[in-house]
Amino acid sequence: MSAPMSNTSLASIRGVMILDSAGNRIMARYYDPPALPNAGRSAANNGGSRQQTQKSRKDVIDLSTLEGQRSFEARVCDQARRLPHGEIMHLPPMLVSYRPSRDLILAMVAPEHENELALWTSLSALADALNSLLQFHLEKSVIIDYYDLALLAIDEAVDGGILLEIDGAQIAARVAARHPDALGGQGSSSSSGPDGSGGSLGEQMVGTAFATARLIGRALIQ
Amino acid sequence: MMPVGAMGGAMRSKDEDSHDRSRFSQVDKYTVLQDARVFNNAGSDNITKCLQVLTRIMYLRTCKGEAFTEQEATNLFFAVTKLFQSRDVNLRRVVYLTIKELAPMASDVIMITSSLIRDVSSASSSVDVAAGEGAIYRANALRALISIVMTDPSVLPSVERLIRQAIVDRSPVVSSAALVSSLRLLYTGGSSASMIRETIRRWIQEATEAISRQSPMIKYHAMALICEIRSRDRTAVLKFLQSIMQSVNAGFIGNSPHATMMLARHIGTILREESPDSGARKQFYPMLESLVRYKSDMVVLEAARAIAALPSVTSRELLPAISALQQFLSSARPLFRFSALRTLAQIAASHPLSVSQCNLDIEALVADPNRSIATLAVTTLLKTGSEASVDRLLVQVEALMPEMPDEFRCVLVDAVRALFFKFPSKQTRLFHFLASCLRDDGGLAFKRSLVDALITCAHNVPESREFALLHLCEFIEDCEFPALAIRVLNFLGAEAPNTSCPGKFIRYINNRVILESAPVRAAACSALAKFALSPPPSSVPLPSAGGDELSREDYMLALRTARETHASLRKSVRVLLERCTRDADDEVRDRASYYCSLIDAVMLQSALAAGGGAKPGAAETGFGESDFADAMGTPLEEELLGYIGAKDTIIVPNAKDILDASTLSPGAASGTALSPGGAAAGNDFAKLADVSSVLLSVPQLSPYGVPLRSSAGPVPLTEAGTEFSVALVKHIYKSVVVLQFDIANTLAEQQIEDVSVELDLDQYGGICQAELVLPAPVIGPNETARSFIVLRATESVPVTEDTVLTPEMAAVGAVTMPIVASFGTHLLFTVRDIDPDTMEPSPSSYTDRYDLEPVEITLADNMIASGPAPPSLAQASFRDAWSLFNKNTEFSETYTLPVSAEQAPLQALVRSVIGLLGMRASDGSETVLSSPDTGEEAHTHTLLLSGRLLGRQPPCLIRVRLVRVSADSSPTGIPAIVMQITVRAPDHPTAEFIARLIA
Amino acid sequence: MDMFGSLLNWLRSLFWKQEMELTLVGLQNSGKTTLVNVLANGQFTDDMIPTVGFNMRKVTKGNVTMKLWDIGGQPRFRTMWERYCRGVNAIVFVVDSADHERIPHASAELHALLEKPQLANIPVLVLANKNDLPNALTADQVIERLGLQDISNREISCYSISARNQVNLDTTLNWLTRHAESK
Repeated sequence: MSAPMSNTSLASIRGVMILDSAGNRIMARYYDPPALPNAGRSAANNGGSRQQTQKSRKDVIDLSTLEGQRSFEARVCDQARRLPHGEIMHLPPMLVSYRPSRDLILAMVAPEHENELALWTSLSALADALNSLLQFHLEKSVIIDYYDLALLAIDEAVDGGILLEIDGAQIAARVAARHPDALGGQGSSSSSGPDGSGGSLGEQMVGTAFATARLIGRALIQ
Repeated sequence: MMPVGAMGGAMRSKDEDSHDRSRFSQVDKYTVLQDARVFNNAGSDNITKCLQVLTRIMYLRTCKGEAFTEQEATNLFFAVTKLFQSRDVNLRRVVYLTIKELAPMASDVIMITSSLIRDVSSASSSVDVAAGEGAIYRANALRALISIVMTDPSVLPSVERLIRQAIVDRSPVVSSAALVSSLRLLYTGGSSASMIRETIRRWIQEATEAISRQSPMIKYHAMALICEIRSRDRTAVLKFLQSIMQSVNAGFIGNSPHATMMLARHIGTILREESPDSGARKQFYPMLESLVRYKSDMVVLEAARAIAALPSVTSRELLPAISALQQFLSSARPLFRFSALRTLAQIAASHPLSVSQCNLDIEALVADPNRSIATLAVTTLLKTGSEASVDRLLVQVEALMPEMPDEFRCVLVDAVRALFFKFPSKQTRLFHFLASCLRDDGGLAFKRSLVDALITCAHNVPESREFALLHLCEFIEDCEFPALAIRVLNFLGAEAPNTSCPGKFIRYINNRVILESAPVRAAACSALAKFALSPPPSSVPLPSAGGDELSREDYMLALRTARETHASLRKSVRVLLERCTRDADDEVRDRASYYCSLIDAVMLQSALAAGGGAKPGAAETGFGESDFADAMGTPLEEELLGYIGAKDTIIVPNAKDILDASTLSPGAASGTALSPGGAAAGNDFAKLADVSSVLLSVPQLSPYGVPLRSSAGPVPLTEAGTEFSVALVKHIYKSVVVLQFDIANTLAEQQIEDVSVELDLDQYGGICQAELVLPAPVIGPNETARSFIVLRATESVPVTEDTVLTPEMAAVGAVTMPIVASFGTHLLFTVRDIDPDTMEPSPSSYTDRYDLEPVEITLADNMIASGPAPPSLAQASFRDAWSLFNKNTEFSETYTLPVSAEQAPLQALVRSVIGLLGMRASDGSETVLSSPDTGEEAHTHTLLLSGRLLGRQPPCLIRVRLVRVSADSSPTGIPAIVMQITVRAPDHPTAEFIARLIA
Repeated sequence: MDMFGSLLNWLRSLFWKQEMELTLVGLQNSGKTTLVNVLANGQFTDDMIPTVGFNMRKVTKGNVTMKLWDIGGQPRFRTMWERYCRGVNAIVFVVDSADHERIPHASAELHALLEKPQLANIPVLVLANKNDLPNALTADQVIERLGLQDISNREISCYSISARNQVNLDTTLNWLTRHAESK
C-alpha cells in the first residue's frame, strides 16, 4: 500500500456505477481525475516490500477506456457478490464503496487515499435518493424504466467528480422537483399532458395559469 | 409539485414492464442519429418522443459506453440545440444532461452559450421562483454552461460576471453549483489552465462571502475554492485555515462534517511540508488532536490519518490517533474496521511499537469474514508482532492462504519477505512457508511474487540458496506459466553451477528440455550450457572448524575429484545439448548448436592447457612474439589512440578479453594455449584508470577483471540539494556492464541501510538481466558509499540460415549485443533514525524508495571512434573498407523525420547522429556543404562513419544519406528529412542492431 | 401579457393556433436580439451584450406563435446560419442601415447564404434597422445596395424599421404572420 498522497482536490469521485448481479453495467459515469498544477514528485513510503509485486495485466485499473472500465466493473461485482455487505473494497489504487439492492449493486469509486467514511456517506446519499424516487424499488427493471430519473439523481449528487450534495432527501427533492410526473399517476416517466409547453422556463409564464393548465391537461387525457 | 409518496399502483404493470425493459434493446448509434431529427420539430405533441431519444443517447453513453465520432457528436449536439424551442421542463433538464455529455466530443459547442446564459439569469428576475424550482433549473443550466466553458475556455470572459453573481446567489443550490463549477474550471488542465486560474483568482471575494452562509454544502465547496485559489500562497492558506479553525470551535462549520474533514486534510497537507519543530506544527497539531475526538467519524478518521502522515511523527503525537482508530476496530461495520485497520497497517510500517497496543484487537480480526480486513490484520501483525509471534502468525496465514484471492496473497508474501530480513533466526521457517506456498494453486501474480521472494531471499542469504534452488526446481516440474519457468531456469543457470553439487539440478532442467514449449526449452538449453561453461573449481570448501585438519595432499585430492566431477558434468551436458540440436524448434536448435560449439572450444582449450603443462606464465607454448603482436599490438595501439582522442572516456584495453577471443577462435585454438602473459600488457594500461581500481577493490567484482572502458567522472542522477545524491559511473565489459553508484546520504539524523539501486529492466523486454546486485550495507549521516549492479546482456542467438557466420562471430559469439537502453531507476533502502543526542541509531526502521534520473547506456558508451579499416589495412580509405565488406552482412533502414521548418539544418542532424553513435566521421563528411553564394545548406548529404564496438575487432561502417524533402513533395505535406542508414558490420545482427538504434 | 387576455383565450390558443418558425441573421450589431426583445416584451432595452451562439424565443401574437431563432452575427457563427435556417417559414435578415461601410459585407453574407441549395424557396424579409439614426439609408437604397433586385427565385421583401422607436414593426409582424402555417 502506498502512502496517502495528499490530495485536497474536491474532485474525489472517479466513478458511479449501477451494475446488475451478473456484473453487467446498467449505468456508469466516470470522471477524469483533476489536472492539478502542483502535483510534485514524492519519495513515497513503501510499506516494506522490496520489489513491487508485478501485477498481471488484468489487475491494472484503467478507467479511461471502456475495456478497462468493464473489467473493473466485473471485479467490483465479483467481490461484491462474495461479500454482499462488505461496504467497502480496496482494489488498488481505487477504493470502492458499494451497496447491494435487490438484483443490482450500487457503487462509488474514489482514489485509495480517500476517506472511506466520506465515500460511504456519499454513496448512501445517492442510494437514499434513488430509493426515495423509485419507492424503494431500486432494482434493474425499474432503473431501466426510469433511466432518465436515475441519470438525473447521479447528476445532482456528483458533478465532474465533485460531490454536489450529500443529503439524499435533497437530491431526491431536486430530481423530483423537475419531474413532477416521475412516479405520479399512470403516466410514463416522461409523460406530459397535451400542455407540453407548460414549463416556467425562459418565457415569463404566469405561474397559476401553468398550474391550472397542467391540471386541465391531465383531466383531458383521463 | 406532486410528492413522491406511497402509491402501490405507481409502478408499471408487468406487461408494460417487460415491454419497457426492451425499450433499449434495439437502441444503436445509427438509429439514434436518425431519430434525433425529430428534435427539429419539437412541439407539444412529441415531447415524449424527444425525451426518449435523449434518454437513448444517454443510455448509449452511460450503459453501452458507445463512442461517437466528432462529426456524429456535433450533429447530435446541434440537433439537441433545436430542443430549446420547447419549454417543457422535463425535456430541458435532460437536454442539459445531454449537452454535458456531448460537449467534450462535439465541435462548435459555443453555439449554445447565449441560450444557457439566459436560462441561468432569467429566473433570477422572476419573483415566484425564489424558493422553489427556478433555482434548480438555474443551477442546472449553469452546470451545463460550465461544460461549454471547459470545452472552449474562450467563453469564460463572457460568463465571468454571471458566475460571480451565482456564487453569491441567495439560493444555496445556485451558489453551490457556481462554486463547484469554479472548482471544475480550476481542475481543468490544458493550455488555458493559467488563463482560467488568473480569472478565477478574482472571485475570492465572492467565495469568501459564500463561506459565511449557513448551508453545509456551500461551506464545503467555498472552503475548497478559497484554498485552491490561494494554493500558491502558503501564508494565505495558513491564515485562512487558522481563521476557519477558530470558527470551528464556535460551531462555524460544525454542521458540515465534509467541510471539517477537508479542514483536517488541508492541515495535514500543510504540516507535511513543515519541519517537526516548526511553528505551524506547534500551532496546528493541537487542532488535529481535537479533531481526532470530533463527533463525526469521517473527521476522526481524516484527522488520525493526517497525524499519522506527519513528518517524523513521534509516538506521543501518534497516541491519540491510534486510540481513536482502535475504537473503530471493534465496530460491527466492516467499513470502520477496514478504514481503521488500513491506517494502522500504514503506521505499523514505520512505528510498529506504537501500533502494538492494538495487537489484541487486531488479532481478533485475523478471522474476519471480510478478507481484505483479515489480510490487513495479518500483515499488520507481521509488522508489529514480536519474533516470538512469527510462528503462530504463520500458522494463521497458512490457514488463510488457500481461500484467499491472489491479490491478497501477494500482499502476504511481500510481508513475509520483509520478515525474512527482520528476523534472521526465523529464516528457515519463513523459507519453508514460501516453499510450501509454491505448491498451492494460484495465478501468475501470486506465483511470481513467490518466485521473486525466493530468489531475493536466496540472493541475500547464501546459505539458503541451495534450498531455494531445489524448491524452484520442484516448482518448474509442474509450472503452467512459461514466463516464470524461464525466469527460474535463468536463475538456475546463474546460480546452480556454483553450488557444491550442481549435478542434482541437471535432471530437473533436462526434464524441461523434454517436456515444455519451445521458449522454455530454449531457456533450459541456455541454463544447461551454463553448467558446462562454468569454470572448473579452483578450490574446495574446507571442513568446518573443529574437524580434522586437512592435509595438503588430501586437499589436492579433493580438488582433483571436484575437477573430475566438473569435467564429467561438462561431458554429460554436452551429450544432452547434442540431443537438443535435433529439436523441432529453430531457436532451441540454434542455441544448442551454438553452445555445443562453445563447449567444444572450451573443452579443447582445457585439454591443451592440461597437455601443455600447468606452468603459469609459460610463453614458450607456441605463442610467438609476432603472433602476440598481431593479436595484441595493433588493437591496443588503436585503443590508446582512441583514448587520447576522446577526453571524456577512459579506455582500458582488456587483454584477457582479447585473449578469450583468440583462444576460442578455431584458427587460434590449433596452435596456441592460454597464456596470462597478455595480462601484463593490460596492467600497464590499467594504471591509466584509477577508476577501475575501485572495481578491483570489490571482491565480488574482481572476477570481471578490468573494464574495456569506464565513463568519465560520476554523472549525477539526482538534483542538487536533495536528501540523497547519487552519481553514476558506467564500466563497460564485453558482455556485462557494471554500474557503479556513488551514494551520499546528506541527512543529518538518519542512516540508511541496505542501499541499492533498482533498475526497471522489464521495460526493455529482458535485453539484459541484473546478474549481481551489491547494496551498500550502511551509509551513515553525511557519509558516502558505493553500490553496484552488474548487468549481463541476454544472449539472443538469432542465427538463421540467411545469417552469414563470419569467423569473428562464430568465435566470440558476437550475437550478444551490447546493452543500449535507458532504464527507469530508483534507490531502495531502509531508513533508521539517529538520536541526535546519543548518536545511537533507533531500533526501528522502515524501507523507502527514492526516484532517480534514468540510467542511460548509449551506443557511444560501447563504441570506439576508430578509422574505417581493419588493422591489417591501416591506411585504407572509407570507400575501400566499405567495398571490402561482405554485402550480406549489410543492413539498411530508411527513416523519415518530419521537421518543423524548411530551414531545418542538416548540419544539426549530422552532429547529433555522430554524438548518438560515438563514431568517427570520414572524408570530412561531418560538415554539410553549403552554397558559397547564398550560404544555403545543401539539400542532400552523405555522412560516413566508422567505429568499433568495444571488445570487437573489425570496424563497423555506416553510411547515412540525408535528403531534405520540401512540404510540396512530401507525402505527408510536412517538410521532412529522409534518412537512409546503411550499416556494414562484421555480422548481420550487429548491423541490424546499430541501424535500428537510430529509430 | 395583454395578448393572452384571459385564461380562456390562452387555452383556446392551445388547441387552435398557428405556428411559425423564423430565423434571424445578419452581421453583428445589426440589432437582431434587440428586435426580438421588442417583439416579445414591447420594450426597447439597449442591451449591448453580443449573442454568443443563438437565442431561442417564442413570441405569441394573437393566434400565431412565432419561434424565433436569433443567431449571433459574429464571423465565427456565420457558418452556422444555414443549420438554423433549414426548414423555417422565413428568414429575417437584419441590416444596420446606418452602417454604410459594412453594407457591402452584409450583402455578401446574404447572397452567400441564399445560394445554399437547402434554403431554396424560403421567403426572406430584409429589415433595414436603425432608421432612427440620422444618416440611415432608405428601404430603396438598401434594396439597391444589397442587390435584392437580383434575387428572383424566391419571395423577398425589405422594410425600413426602427426597433428603438418601434417604427414599422406592425408591418413587419403582418408580413411574418402571413407566412405562418396552420396547425
